[in-house]
Amino acid sequence: MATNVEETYLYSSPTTFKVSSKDGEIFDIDDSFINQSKTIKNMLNVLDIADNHMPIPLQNIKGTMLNAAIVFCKYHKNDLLSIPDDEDEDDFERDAYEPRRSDDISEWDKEFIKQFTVEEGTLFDIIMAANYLDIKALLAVGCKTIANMVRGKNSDQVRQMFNISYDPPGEGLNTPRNSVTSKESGDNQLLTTQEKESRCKTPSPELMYD
Amino acid sequence: MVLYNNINNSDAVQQWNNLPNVVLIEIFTLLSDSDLLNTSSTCINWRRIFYHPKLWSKQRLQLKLIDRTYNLSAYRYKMQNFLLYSQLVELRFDPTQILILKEILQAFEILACNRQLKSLILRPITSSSCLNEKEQPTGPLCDKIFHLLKDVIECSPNLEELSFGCWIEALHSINDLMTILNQSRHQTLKSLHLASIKNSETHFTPDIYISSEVFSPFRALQTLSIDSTYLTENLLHCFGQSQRTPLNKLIVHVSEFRSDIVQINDSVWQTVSTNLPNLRVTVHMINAYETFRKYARILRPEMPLSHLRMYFCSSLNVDMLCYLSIHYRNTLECLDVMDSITEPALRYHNPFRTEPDPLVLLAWQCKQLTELSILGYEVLEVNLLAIAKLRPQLRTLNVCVDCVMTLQFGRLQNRHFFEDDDGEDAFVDYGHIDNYIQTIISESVGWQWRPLQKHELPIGVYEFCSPLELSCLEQIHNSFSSS
Repeated sequence: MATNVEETYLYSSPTTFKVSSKDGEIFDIDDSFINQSKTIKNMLNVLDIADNHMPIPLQNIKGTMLNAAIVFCKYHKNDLLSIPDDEDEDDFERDAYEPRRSDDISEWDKEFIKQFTVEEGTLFDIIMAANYLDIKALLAVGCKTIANMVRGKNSDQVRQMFNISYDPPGEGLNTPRNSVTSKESGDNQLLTTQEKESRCKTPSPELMYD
Repeated sequence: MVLYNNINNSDAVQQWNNLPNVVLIEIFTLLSDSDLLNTSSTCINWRRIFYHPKLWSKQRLQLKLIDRTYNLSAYRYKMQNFLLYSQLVELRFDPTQILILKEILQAFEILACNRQLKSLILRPITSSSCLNEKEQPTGPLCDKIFHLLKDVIECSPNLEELSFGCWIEALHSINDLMTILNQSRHQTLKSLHLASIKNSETHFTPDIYISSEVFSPFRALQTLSIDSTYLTENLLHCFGQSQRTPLNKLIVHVSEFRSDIVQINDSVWQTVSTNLPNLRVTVHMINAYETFRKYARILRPEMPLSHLRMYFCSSLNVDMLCYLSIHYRNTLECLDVMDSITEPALRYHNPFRTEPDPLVLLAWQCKQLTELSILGYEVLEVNLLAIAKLRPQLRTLNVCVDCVMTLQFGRLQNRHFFEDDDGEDAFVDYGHIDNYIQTIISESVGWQWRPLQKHELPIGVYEFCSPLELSCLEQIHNSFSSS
């Protein structure tokens, strides 16, 4: 049968490669990692690496993070298709927009992500690693964790949580993208004084939910 | 900051500000509205992502401009920041105010550059722009808007849904608009709402002819709403001759009965129903006070009628109900009747007569019935009970509390009433319903049922003189969008 042939082919081909991290650590990676990291997959497709003893340099990632990503991929090797690509999702019929779920992190993933913290900067690092390696499942776990952390917090609390410095208001913080049209002719008569005042200030995104 | 004194990694400072956009978008799509607002107010970069098209383009953008002083700033904010890349747009506005129409015109200017638009739904709060004759004429502005709409249609290769929301002004440009739709959007358009509400008492509407051939290239069309004037055998041939069209919802508006209205032959409906087995017809009768014989010219027996809404027609009667239960017993899902409460209240049937109540009969016959709403007519309490028992799948069962009637037979002796089923006297009471009955109905349908109080009803039910559109336009718009 066709599928069997393919499987034998996969297992017989040399599927382990070596990668080296920013700090010079060298790791073996196998199928599970290559299949989940789009970056590595593309790299291997583009570069014709004949000698798989030569480590592929991953200059952006620390050894600890690379190791963690490899562990994550090993555990998730069988659920490759669990994260649907929502690019093509046709939600034309979906009138009431619902934010996507973030409370569906599996127990294993929860335990896994616990080792990374904001204080040590490791949570940031693992998210950046997932993003760089383009491992969708890992990035999703990271983002869901962040989403769960900021839920119910006000902006001061979020700033404190992530040690984000406060930008002066007006200078970007509440400024929307450049206006698409700025045709103002003749419509000022529609404005009340109060509105004219509020117009000098930048409009607030709260207006999105009137 | 004390918390971070021990950080030995200098990268940690400021790093979260600079999360890559892809990651921030991924996080932001997981947040609810209020969390998104709070989280995105933390710093410039995060705020910038708040305006990223990816977060908004697939949400339906609702622009509201009903009260000119109240929601203008929100309207402009959304228009300037989100309209250019929104795929789903809904515009709610008061079409009688010239200043509001000017704002709407600007929105159309932006929409003409959008190119990703999939759905454009207009929801004017009244169907005509010229209700107020004292104000400046709105006609030229409407013409400009519809002129721009042509550009919008031409520039939106993915347009799937277009609704004029019963706005009569659209009729003036309808031939031009249909030509453009016909030429450029016939492959994408899934939903098209051209139906209007004509009210000859308040304004004059010219006769506009649409050739039914215009509709034939629309091969993707699933939902179409039109006025009964345009419902012809030719039109039905366009959709019903082959099984290729996916048309499954046809909405017909009846707001005037003209002498030259052509009755559609039953055999045509039969062919259509055979070729399009999933087609269901919705008929909206608005302010069409007529005899039952005239209604039957639209309501043909072979028509696969699923929804019938009769607003301010004052014409529900035994004949009508029996006709519905005979011909649409396999298809009728919704009967929604609304009239003003008069003194005495309207009756569809004389409750003192011995034959069975026609509404109960209808509930018994029509097995698909899930929505029943009878406002402005006397309804006997026990009949409601019977309906609920017969159709436990009902999701809607609306009656006004003031129209619910309890009837007890008995004898009047020495000014005292004694209940007796064979008695010659009757005791009629309105406006309250027995808790016990309410419980049984709730148990039968599986949700907490109660009759509607005055404040829950559309304004026209109690206020005879209010513009009837205030009461039913919302409902009609909703029926356009639900598929």
